[in-house]
Amino acid sequence: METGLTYLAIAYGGFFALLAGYVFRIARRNDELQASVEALEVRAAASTRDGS
Amino acid sequence: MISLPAALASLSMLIAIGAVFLYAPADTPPQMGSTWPYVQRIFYFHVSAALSAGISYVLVFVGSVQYLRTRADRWDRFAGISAELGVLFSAFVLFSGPIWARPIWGVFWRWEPRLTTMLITFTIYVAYLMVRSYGEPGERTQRFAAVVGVIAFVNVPLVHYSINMWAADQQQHPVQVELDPAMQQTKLICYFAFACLYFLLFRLRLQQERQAARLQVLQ
Repeated sequence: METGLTYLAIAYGGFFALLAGYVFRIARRNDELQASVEALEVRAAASTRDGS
Repeated sequence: MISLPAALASLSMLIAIGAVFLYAPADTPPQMGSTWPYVQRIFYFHVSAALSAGISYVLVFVGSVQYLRTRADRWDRFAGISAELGVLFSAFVLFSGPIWARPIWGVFWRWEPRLTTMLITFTIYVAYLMVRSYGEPGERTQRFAAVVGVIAFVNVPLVHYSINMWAADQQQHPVQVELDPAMQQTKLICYFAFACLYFLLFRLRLQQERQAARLQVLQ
């Protein structure tokens, strides 16, 4: 493989790897938030049942 | 369903990659050697990322000043997200620059003004994010982060003007670059693609931070 092509592949590969890492981090945070919402809903449902 | 910003960012990024690899000319100046036709294509994303990072740091400054003025949480979130994106794009600049430099300069790194000031700026904003992450959640940390966000900005014009501020014999970056029209168009396409990507990532993070703030109130 041409050396220049290797450098080019590393640079653009690095960009998309960085971007994928950041998007993965966003997705993981989304999952955490979703889990918190579900936990809140369960708690709210339980307190409604106890109240009735 | 895919949102409009996501569709626009994906499409513009695909067009940018097509322009970089298929449209931009690869003329080789005689002194540049055989790797030039390949490695010169690194610069389209490198420069676009540097511009995005610079804009992010301006936004951190704006968000920090506004937070100190108003003490509104939304400005703190605005500054924090901008800093995150600034560090992300700066990381790519500091990664792709040496990848380009190795075949062209013969070394991965030189302590020349622009590289050094960029590295210092990157380190300062990483420290800013660490202040935000490790500080106690609350007004005190937000205020401290805002002060760091204002002080950190002092370094940003230094990166931009480093080419003119230091002696020419210490410089590796060119002061002025004349670009072929097709190269100029490719550069503008890449700027647009990065603007769309920036808007998408900023929007996603802002929605997430708003949701997290609402959840905190409910809990």
